[in-house]
Order: sequence, then structure tokens, then C-alpha cells
Amino acid sequence: MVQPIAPSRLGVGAELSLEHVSISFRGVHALRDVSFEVRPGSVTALIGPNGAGKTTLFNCISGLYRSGGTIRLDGRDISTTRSAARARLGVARTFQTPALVAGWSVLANVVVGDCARGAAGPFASFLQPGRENRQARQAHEQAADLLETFGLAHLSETPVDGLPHAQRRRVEIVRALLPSPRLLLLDEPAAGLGNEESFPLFDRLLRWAEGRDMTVLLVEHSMDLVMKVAGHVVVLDAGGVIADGAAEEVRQDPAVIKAYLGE
Amino acid sequence: MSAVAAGVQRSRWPVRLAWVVGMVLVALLAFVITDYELFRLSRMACIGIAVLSLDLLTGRAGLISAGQGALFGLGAYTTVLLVYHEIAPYPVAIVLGSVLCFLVGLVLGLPALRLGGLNLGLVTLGAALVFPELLKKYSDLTGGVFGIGISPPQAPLDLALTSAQWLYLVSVAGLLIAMAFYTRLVNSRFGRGLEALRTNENMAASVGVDLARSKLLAFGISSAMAGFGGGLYLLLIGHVTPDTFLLTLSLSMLFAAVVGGLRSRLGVLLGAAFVVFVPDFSAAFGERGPQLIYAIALLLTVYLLPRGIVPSLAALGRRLLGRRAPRTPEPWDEIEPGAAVAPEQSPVVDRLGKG
Ligand SMILES: Nc1ncnc2c1ncn2[C@@H]1O[C@H](COP(=O)(O)OP(=O)(O)OP(=O)(O)O)[C@@H](O)[C@H]1O
Ligand SMILES: [Mg+2]
Repeated sequence: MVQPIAPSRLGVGAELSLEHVSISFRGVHALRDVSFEVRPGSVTALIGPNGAGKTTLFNCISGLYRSGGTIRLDGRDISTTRSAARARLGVARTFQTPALVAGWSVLANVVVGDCARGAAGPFASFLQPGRENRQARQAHEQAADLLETFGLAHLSETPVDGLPHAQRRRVEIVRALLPSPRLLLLDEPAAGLGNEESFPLFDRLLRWAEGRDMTVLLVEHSMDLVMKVAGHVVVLDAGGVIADGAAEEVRQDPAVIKAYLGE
Repeated sequence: MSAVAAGVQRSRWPVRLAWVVGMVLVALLAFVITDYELFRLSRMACIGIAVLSLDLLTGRAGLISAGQGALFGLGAYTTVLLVYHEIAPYPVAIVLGSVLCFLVGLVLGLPALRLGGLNLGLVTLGAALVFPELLKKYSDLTGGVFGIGISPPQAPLDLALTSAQWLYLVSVAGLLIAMAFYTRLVNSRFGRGLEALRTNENMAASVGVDLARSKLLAFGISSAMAGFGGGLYLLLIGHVTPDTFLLTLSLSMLFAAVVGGLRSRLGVLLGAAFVVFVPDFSAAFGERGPQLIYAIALLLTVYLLPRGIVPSLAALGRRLLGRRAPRTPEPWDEIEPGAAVAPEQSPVVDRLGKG
């Protein structure tokens, strides 16, 4: 029995707009002239077959790759902004294969997300110990709350090393949520999960986000999940956008069916 | 609450207590053993500071430096020159030496923005090779091959301490300050960011860790610490020559950090003890004795205790006690399959270099 996802309404998150984003690797065009908008407070899905360029686009948006074209966050051109500075502007992401610090506990891995709240100088904890301690305590409390929400509280002191993939992924989601991002990029958060697991996960996520100012861009292969949570869908194929519209329309689009759904 | 969680929380304060008691005993040693033994322990403390500084850089930030001995030497030479020319009393001179090392460290860190691993090791190796040559070249300032010296500082306030006892207490206090600084730093947001950066640069950048800034500061701070250790070392030995800070010193510091075990303060002490005491024990093997012992110890550690002596034994202990031992990847480990992109393919590296 699959649990339904409660409808929720996000606050006004960031608006993301991509204009002619392109990138190539040794002559291979991974993204060509990608343009689309992600409306503030929306949940938008980015779908496409393997190798379409979805993860590459995430790398461009989060600043790990420098691409051609223009990337705007709330109208502001962030194309040349460094990755860490984009994080501080409210861009948070997860990785397709979860990237956690081995040897650290679940809690420590979540708390590191607090770096996005502002550059921490090496001497801050010596010069302003009170302030740093307060911030650390706050981050730990928020992390504990989030871990509770996502059903990980019992693991908070466990080293992440031995955790199963699905849980590692969940830890990453919690880390991304910690600084209350304005734009959340999720790279296949439900990979390897059945609907009976992925639906409750999104139910939790969207309930948590209810009323918060957050926009979600989601890369996901499960069409059940996409249709359930995303109002808007963008389809990439071979580095180019082949469809962009309301979820239902895109589902009916013959080009999409040919490239992706029909495989 | 899980057993692991409870274990972690319970084990914290006895560890602290053990450190405090241990340190008090260490201080009391000053009144028990001979001045010569005190001198050797003091050297160990100063070298320990340098090894700790290297552990910060290599163990935490994953940046390898084969030139830490040069910064140690720069701290020592700055201190001796300032005191010799009566520009500053020795405590001030040591601080100024550390500040200078911080600045030089920032410059030495620049290649780290482009290079990693072996290449960075080679660049820093260059610094270790050049330093003694520079000292010889600018002999008007440095005294050339004959070096330069000052008389050993005496205990202040008419304390009834020999110079060796006083310097021993100063060195141990210096080591404690360095340890406290290190501990606070690695547990700060900045320190956590460094470790994130070591594990996965892309992940670190995406959670807001400024890679270039963090790496440079790691180099600067580590160099300042090494310079601090060098300044104290100068007080101990009184006289320095270019031969005091040869490449072998830098390499033995790296050796000490790795063999003792990265990210382990106890490992740092063990490594420093190796550097100081091995040459004495191994004199029996002839002139090449120390090198031979180092080489053998290094090989044995790599084969038998790949994470260094202290962490490997700690892991073994935990396994015997039935607790899970987390494994932390070393900087030279292959990048986790979890990383989205291999760093050498990542344009982020190019960009940082140019920016
Ligand atoms: N750093 C890189 N170096 C070389 N080629 C790359 C790099 N990053 C991405 N590519 C190429 O870009 C293309 C798109 O890859 P990407 O990982 O973005 O696809 P994807 O849509 O995320 O696929 P999947 O559904 O399998 O995750 C691939 O051909 C890939 O080989
Ligand atoms: Mg992908």
C-alpha cells in the first residue's frame, strides 16, 4: 500500500533561469543551448535518458562546472560565481552517488552543511568563541530536528561508512536542507527505492518544506514519483531540451515518449 | 540511543582527564631526570609541534608538504636573528617568526590550488632543498655555513630552575598550546570544511566551503605552527646552521606524521619521539643507521599498520572490544566512487588556479 503524498505549498523560493547553457568535454557536447525557467516555489522535474546531461546541468547550476550561457538566480547572473558563493546564495544539492565524509557520524555529516550559512574563518572560534559556539549549537539542534523528521535520529551518532545506500542518500538530503536552501537540487533521490519508500520520503520532504521559501529541481527516473510531485517537467535528451511544460502535457508529448518513456 | 552513541559520549571526559594527568606528570619530570634527558624530550616537544602542523595540513586538509622542515627553520632563523640583533626579546621573536611563516606559507600554498598529491609533494620538496642554500647564499645576514647563535635563555624571576629545566617547561607548554589550538581548529566550522575538502572537493564546494581560501589558510596556519615550533627549537639548541634544516628534516617530519598515524595527536607524539630517539638508538648501525631504521619502520608500518601506528592499533582495540571502527580515506586514496566528478576532470580546479 503506497502512502499518498500530502499536497503542500512551498513558499517563494529562488527563481532559476537558464539561458543558452552549453558545455562540452573534449569535443563532446554534454549540454547544448539549454534554456528553461524554474518558477519560484515550484517542484520541477528534470528527466531524460541516461547520459542526457542531467547531472552535468546540476554541476553547472551548483558551480562545479563553468558553462557557456547565463545562469540566473532571482534574476541575478551567477554564471561566474564560485560554487561556495552559490551555496551561500541558497543553492544546495545532493549527488547522484551520495558524497559523505567517511569516518564521520551521520550528525557530523549533516552539520557540515552549515558552512553554507557563511564563510567560517579559521580564527573565528578563537576570536569570537561565544558566537561560534552558539552557531554550532544551533546547527546541531537543527540537524537533530531534521534527522528526526527524516527518520534518522537513531543513527545520528553512527559512522556513515557502513550505512546502506538509501540511508546515505537520505543523509545527503538532510545535509542539503540544513541551511534552509532557496534552491534545492536533488539528483535521483529515489534511485533504488520503490514507490513504497520514495513516496513517504517525498511526503516528509514536502511537508517539511511546507511554507518555507524553497524551489526544488528534481532529477528522477521514476515517472510515478515525477507525476506525483512535480508540476512542471523539463526533458533533456543528448544535451538538449526536447520538452518543457506542465507534467501532464509532457507525458503526452510524442518526442518525449520516443526518447524516453517508450524505451 | 545506540551503543556507539553512548560509547562516544562516555569516553570523552576520561580521555581529557588522562591528558591533564599525563601532562602534569610530564611537567614534574623536569625535576626528576637529567638535563640531557630533558633536552631530548624538549627537542621532541618542538619537533612534535612541527609534526602536528604537518598533520593539520596533510591529515586534515589532505595537502602533502615535504617542506615543513624549511618553515621550521625559517621560524628558528627569524627568532635567532631578532634576538641576536636585540630587536626583540625571544617570546616576541618567536611570535614574529610564526607570523612570517604564516605569510610565507600562504605563498607556498599557491601551488596547492592547482596541484595535488605527488605534484604538490614535489613543489614543497623544492622549498626544503632551496632553504639551506638560501641561508648559505645570504651569509651576511645568516652567518652562512657557520650559522648563528644566542646564549640560552634563563628562567625568569629568579626561579630556581636550570636553563634545561626552564626550556623543557617552555617547550612542553608550547606543545600544549599547539595541541589545544589544533584541537579547537579541527573541530571548528573551518576545520570541518577542511576535512570535507579532503574527502571530496566537489561536495565541499557545494556545501559552501571556499576551496582556494581554505587551502591557502591551511598552508598559512600550518606553516605558522611549524615556525612556532622552530622558534622554540632555536632556544633549545642555541645555535643554528643551514645543516640543521636539511631535506632529511622535512622528510623525517612527514615520516613521523604518517608512521604515527594521521589525524591522531598521540600518533604525532609517537612520530616525534621516533625522529628524536631513533638516531641515538641506531648509532650502533653506523652512520646510515637512522635512515635504515626509518626505512624499515616506514615499510613495516605501510604493510602492517597502513593507517599509522596509533589509528591502526586503536581500530584493532575497538574490534577486539566489538565496536565498529570507521575507516577514513587518506588523501592519496582513490577518490570515492561517490564523487560526482574526478577532480582532474573538474573545471573547478582550472578555475581556482586562474582566479
Ligand atoms: N567531467 C566530465 N568529463 C567528460 N565527460 C563528461 C563529464 N561530465 C559529464 N560528461 C559527459 O556528459 C554526458 C552527460 O552525462 P550526465 O552524467 O550529465 O548524464 P545524466 O543525464 O546525469 O545521466 P544518468 O541518468 O545516467 O545519471 C555524458 O556523455 C558524460 O560522459
Ligand atoms: Mg546523472
